Amino acid sequence: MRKTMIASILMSVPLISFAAVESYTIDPTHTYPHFKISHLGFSTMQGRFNKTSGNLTIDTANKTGSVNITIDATSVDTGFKKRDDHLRSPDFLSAAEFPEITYQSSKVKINADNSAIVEGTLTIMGTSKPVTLDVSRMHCGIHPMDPKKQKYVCGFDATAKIKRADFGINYGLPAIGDDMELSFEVEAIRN
Amino acid sequence: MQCMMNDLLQNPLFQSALAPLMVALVTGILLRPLGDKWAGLGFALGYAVSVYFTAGFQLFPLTSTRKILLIALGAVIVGALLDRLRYPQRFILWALVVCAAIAAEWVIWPVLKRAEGMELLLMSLVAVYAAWLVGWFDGLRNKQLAATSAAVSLGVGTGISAVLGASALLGQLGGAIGAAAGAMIVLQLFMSRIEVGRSFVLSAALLASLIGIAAVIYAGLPWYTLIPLAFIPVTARLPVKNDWNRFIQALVLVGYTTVPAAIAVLITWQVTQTAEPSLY
Repeated sequence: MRKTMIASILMSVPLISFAAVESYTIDPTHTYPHFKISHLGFSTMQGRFNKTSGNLTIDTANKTGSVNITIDATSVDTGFKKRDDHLRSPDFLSAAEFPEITYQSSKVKINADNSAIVEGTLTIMGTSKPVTLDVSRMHCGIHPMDPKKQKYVCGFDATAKIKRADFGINYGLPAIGDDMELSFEVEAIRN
Repeated sequence: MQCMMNDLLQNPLFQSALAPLMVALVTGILLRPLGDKWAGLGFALGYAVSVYFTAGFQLFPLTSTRKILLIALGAVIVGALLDRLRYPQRFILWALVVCAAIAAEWVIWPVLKRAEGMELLLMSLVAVYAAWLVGWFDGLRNKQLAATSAAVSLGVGTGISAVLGASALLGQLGGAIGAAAGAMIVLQLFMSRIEVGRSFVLSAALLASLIGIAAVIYAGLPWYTLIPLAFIPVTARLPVKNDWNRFIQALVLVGYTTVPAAIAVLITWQVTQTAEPSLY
């Protein structure tokens, strides 16, 4: 009897732990990576990538999780086709050759105020570098517009700073800025 | 003073025209006493300086541009060896043509491996361009002025087309071929017994063809721009009278080869000109 009880307790531990980890799929219609870069020192140009996919997990019990995001490099959009074509060329992203930009987290720490720090690896044009995302606000809950009230969504805003030269994107330096500000609006639906 | 120097070093015209021209010229002069065909290596050294300024010598990750530069380095070495070895010429020609086609497929492999059906077939056909140019340029290796004139026009034509229609980096790397090859023309005009050899014709043809292919596959240059460029080494074989002064011969050959280059540039200009403002 005692053995059975111990076995039941031991078996339930991973289940409890497993239940605390929730997996989500990125909602591509509400997830957009944006970037800001100095345009010849005159102004700060902004653009975004229109196609993103991926998944994330949230472990509420242990205040951690994981993020895997894949960005379609060909979907870069600055509102001007000629410039977007140039950004897709080998001068910048070489999108035909490297169609995916990826971010894979290695460590996630969710704070008590729902902010978080995500450490991970950003890969652009085959070059991987560690990049830390600063998540300002995380919010999870039932989607208010879902008629069945079953769609559970988690969202957050995140920012990061990178130097494009670190990824081998050297064209136009230093006139076109090296420092890039990245910001992500992310929403994911619980599986 | 330092600011002026930085401005100069960052100027695309310096990086892709003046620097390769001067370095190819000086190293060509310095290498000439070693033998008739050593001057041809001046082209490779002049081009290497341009690569240093534009793309850098970093090898990894192995992007298509770095593959092209790696192939060109291999072509210089293989060309220099072939200049000194005695193999049946027909065998060498066919071996180079096949290798050029394989090199082209390797450069476009990241796109090729995702293509299917007709798209795969059409993309594979770009290898014909590299094979064609390498074959024709190999035939020019003993026609010194014709080979260098063709390389100047091919480099400049490819470079300007790439800048207009595709990518500034590929444009600069194309233009540098023209500048470094231009130095070889100057050497041929002012120094006796200069032979550019296979190290020159093989590397110039491979570089220009692979840059053109990369511009089409990776940067949206219209594929038909390559058609007039392919005729540049053909026009370099048009007759030039032997009793003409070498300056006149060079001028006529550059004139012949400039025509298809200009047609390629014109086609790209027509296709890429839009009512939209400059992206800069």
